[in-house]
Amino acid sequence: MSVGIEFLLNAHVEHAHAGPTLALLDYLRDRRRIVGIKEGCHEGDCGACAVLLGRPGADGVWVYRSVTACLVPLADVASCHVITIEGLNRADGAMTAIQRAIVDGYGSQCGYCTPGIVVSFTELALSAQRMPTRDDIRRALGGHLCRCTGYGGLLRAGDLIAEALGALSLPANRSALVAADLLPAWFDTIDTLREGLDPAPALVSEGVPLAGSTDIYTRGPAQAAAPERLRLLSREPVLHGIQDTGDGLRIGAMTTTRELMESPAMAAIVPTVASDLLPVAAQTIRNRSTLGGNIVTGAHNADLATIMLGLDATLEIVGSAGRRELALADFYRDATQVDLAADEIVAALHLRRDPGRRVNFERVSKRSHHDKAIVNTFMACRVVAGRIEYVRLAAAGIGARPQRLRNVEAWLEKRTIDQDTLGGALDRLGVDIAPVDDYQGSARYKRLLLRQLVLAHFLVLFGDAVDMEALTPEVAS
Amino acid sequence: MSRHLDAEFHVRGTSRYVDDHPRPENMLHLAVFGSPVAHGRIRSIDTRAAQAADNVVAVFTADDIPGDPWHGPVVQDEALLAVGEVRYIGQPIVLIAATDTASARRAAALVTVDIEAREIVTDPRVAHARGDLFGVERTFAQGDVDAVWAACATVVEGTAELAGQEHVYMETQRARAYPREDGGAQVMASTQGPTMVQKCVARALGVALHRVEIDVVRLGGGFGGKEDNANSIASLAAVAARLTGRPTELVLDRATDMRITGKRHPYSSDYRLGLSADGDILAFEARHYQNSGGYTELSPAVLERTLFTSCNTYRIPNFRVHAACCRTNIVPNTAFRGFGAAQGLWVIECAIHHAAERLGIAPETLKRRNLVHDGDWFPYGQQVSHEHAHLCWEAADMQFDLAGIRTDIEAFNADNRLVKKGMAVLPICHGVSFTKIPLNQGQALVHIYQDGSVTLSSGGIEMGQGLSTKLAAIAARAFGLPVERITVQSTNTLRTANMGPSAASATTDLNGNAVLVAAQKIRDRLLAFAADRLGVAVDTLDIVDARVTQDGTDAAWAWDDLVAQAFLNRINLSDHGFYATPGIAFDPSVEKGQAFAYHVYGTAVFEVEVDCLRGTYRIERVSVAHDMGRPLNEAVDIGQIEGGLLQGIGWMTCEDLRFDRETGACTTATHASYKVPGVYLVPDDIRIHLLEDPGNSIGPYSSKAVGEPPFLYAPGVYFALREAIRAFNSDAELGFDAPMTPEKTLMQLYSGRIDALLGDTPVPQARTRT
Repeated sequence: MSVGIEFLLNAHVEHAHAGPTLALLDYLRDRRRIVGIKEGCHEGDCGACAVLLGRPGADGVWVYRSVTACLVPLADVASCHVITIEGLNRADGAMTAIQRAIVDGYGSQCGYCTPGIVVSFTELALSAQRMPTRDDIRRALGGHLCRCTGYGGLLRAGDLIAEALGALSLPANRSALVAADLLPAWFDTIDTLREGLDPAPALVSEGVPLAGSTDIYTRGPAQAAAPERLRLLSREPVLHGIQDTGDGLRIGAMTTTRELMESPAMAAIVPTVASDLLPVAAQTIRNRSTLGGNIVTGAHNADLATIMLGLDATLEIVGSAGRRELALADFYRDATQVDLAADEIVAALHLRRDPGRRVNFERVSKRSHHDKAIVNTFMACRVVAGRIEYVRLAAAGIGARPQRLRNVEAWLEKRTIDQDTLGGALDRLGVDIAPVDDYQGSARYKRLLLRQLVLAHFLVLFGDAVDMEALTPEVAS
Repeated sequence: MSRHLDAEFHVRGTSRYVDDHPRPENMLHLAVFGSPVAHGRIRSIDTRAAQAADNVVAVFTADDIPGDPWHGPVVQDEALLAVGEVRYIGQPIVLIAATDTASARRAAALVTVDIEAREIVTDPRVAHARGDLFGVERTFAQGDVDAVWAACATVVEGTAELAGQEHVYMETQRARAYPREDGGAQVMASTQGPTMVQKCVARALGVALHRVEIDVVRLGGGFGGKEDNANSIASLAAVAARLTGRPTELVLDRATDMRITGKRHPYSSDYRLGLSADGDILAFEARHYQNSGGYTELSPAVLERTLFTSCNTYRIPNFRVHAACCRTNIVPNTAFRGFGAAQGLWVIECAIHHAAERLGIAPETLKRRNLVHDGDWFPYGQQVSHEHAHLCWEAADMQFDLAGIRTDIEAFNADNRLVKKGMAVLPICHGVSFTKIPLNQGQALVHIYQDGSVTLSSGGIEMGQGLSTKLAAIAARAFGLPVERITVQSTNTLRTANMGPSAASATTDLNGNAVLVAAQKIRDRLLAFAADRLGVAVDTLDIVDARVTQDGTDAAWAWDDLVAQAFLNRINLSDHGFYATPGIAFDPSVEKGQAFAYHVYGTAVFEVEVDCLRGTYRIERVSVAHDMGRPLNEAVDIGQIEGGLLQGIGWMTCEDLRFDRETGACTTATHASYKVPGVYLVPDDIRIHLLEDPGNSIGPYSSKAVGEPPFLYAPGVYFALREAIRAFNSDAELGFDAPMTPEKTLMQLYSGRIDALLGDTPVPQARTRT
């Protein structure tokens, strides 16, 4: 099935005729032979195929994000703006300051990963609110694998770009970035280009609901695996945005992981949300992956789902029969299937605000960042006068779905924080869990790891009240 | 200093890799169907469904190969498409040609085979016990080990386990082939060894070498993974091109590449080390069981390098190390940066750390005491000379204060219970030269065109390591020109014949010296011509900044005019350079010889911090004092050191290559499951001190090889982590088993207490790791 899809591709309007589920990477490289974009893995992990994907934000201002083109269905870029490395080249053959920084920093060896990195550094420049720090530079590089440089030259290149940005008044508009040679000149004409674009093209609107597509498109060569008909949730406004509902938040299911990390409203509930989610995937993926997608997919080691379980989130589910609400914990009742009818979608999550609640998130993965959690866990509790008023303890990686550890919760609730209470909780950890041996680790390791991470919760949340000597007996010395 | 010559193309996305070149209109796309089982006899192959699939043009099995299907760099024991037997999962059996890639891959999935299953062995020790070896067991020895054990004050013995490593070159294996009118083929390959590809293609097509042209512009990473792995890929493309009469292209998708291509060899080793009461190494004995995989591939050559590096940089008067290539049912393993050296070095380092732990002393004390001196003998019969082991060690001590680091770590560990630090000092010594002597030759072809621009071709491959940058710098220096006047061309078997692979860190030495030879011949002719015209003695002339000078003053003759005049006067403006490393020899019948042109030395210090609650870690600092001669381009060499360090750190930490013991399947054959280092694994602080060195008489302009040596520092990070774990759990029996994943870290931190912590008696879990 071929459909017409119109979008901006660099500085021109592209009229594509292709299968809507074709990966953007395959359209660009294979069909259009735009070959600056590279295929390294076709599973979103290496960043070699990164492109800038621009679309209007909530306030109508276009936002450009670096995404891996291998995980984007072509249909989902309709009426958007796709910028490849070719679009970041100056017309006169000279290099932009970003390209020069990589050359001067010796940040390119074999060069295969380089075009994607230029794209992500350009996103860094476009979105810089202040002079980028090394942490910001790492975040920009976090979704890019380079097997040659050891990243030393790329970090030095990032420093040079940060310096160039530091000379501007930030956030800088596109004209200022063009003037500073961080963007090629045609970026000044983007607004005019967009006028030629059909704002509401005809699209496939029934079929398999697709959110950020960062899960389904990782399953082998996308053209073979992806469904033939898509319902593009990105086109449904009701699924977007984070709203204050008075006693809490309504978080649209299409809210991206990146948006969650940067949301002040979310930070009011989970103060460490930005750092908690930093190891979860990488920026190129977090720019696409959605809260709703993470919840509905409900992978055995899903991170957002674990956090939302611990926050007692309620799902807003919409289908042909109308709208219903369901506690997330009940959504995952069944290990093999979530409580969602074929014609239903999760439209939003609702969180209740609780000023006295304290929270902590722990996760360990084989590679510290940009890797699936082996085990994660989230704890939320309210403590009054040394007594646990209520507690939620969620974890994943230790069963078929993210889950609440209700035996431990029941033990802890209404008890005074002391060694007996905490020791008793650790003793009850094994009751509800069924980890398995897999490439991520042995079942025995996962059980030990969960214990240690719960211990870490106690240490972070109860601090001095925890006698680590007693809970982690000296192994030997 | 000149920039990386290709970088400007890279940042613009205009650099061309094999499948970036415009596609011929009628090009076919290829896919392979590989064996679903790790060992068995093929009863039948059913390709009917694949043949009938949409857009499929042709389907081939071994019977269709026009020439000899058997190939292999050492022994030709593997067929391009399986004949009779399969020995690893993914071994190519059927080749599909279709009009697009997706159709070819879909059709490949429709092939079915009937295979009579045979027993699967993944453990090299099991294979060894059954006598399933490639070649014979080899032994390097000196002194009399057996006579000395009784005299040793301390003897430690144990086993050391070491996992393999997946290359993860960012560009997967690929080749494009064009049929030639004479039955041969023209192949654009992604290979480190164009001549090896040429031989394999010629053999498969049944034609002589002169009918096969291999052209290589650049690689998107190689690291050894495209030294031999590339041969079959290119040959399959050439066979399909010949049989269909159309251009073909074979590009492996990532998962297929990871599943079917050879990797770094896992090793399992036994060691025994004896020390005097003063801490002098008196004797070392070891046996290496190399997990070679299903076919011979480069395993015997890799094994040899393990033997050469089993003494690392230590004086070991009594030494006996055995090593064997063990045939198992995993992918045929191959070259990977370090080429067996890292595996050999790992075991002697384990033994020294073991001894230091036994004696309760800092391992660096033992290491420092036993460094080689000039006049000592390496066990392979080469006398140590130009030894820089001490220079590097002392430079590291002076620059980084080894004792100070240790004192700080001990103080930190005394003050902190749940966070512990560890350090390790790792000295290296890497012999430079191919141990297969005939490979130690380099060639270059240099042309000056009438406009004064210079082009050069060599037998070396640009794979990111900066070869082109260095060769251009050498030519520029030889001609007295700015580097912008030099262009380095693709590597092509028509311009350069009989090349060795770009490997063994020797590419710049061999081809750079050849460039120098060619350039000097042309320069000599140009200056003789100039001397004649100017009526002066030739030895008063020079070329500086593209102008002729006489006794240091400008002779009013620019390079471009000199070249133009020389052409008109029929002076030959082209030449070919040949270089063969002098003075090297090795006799495998006695395992002795002057194997290496020189050695590269260095000392690295790793400092790590372990979160003893969660079992996670951070590499805080790596400090390196490294011997690089006089660098041709310091920034390029620093890039090699940083890249090699992180690749080694990955191998020792998060790169957790696993094979299923029962099925022989690689269970980590995707990016999702196999984790190479990302930017967050980069040590917080990297300090690199380049040894101020009088140079190296063998290397071009006194430079030294840099590709592999920095990789050899890798075990240092393992030992630093182990030390931090021991600071938390001092009497745990830890053993030596790399990589140190977060799983192993946590399990070792609580070794001996896990049952109690989990509150149960554990059910023994089947280990799936080989």
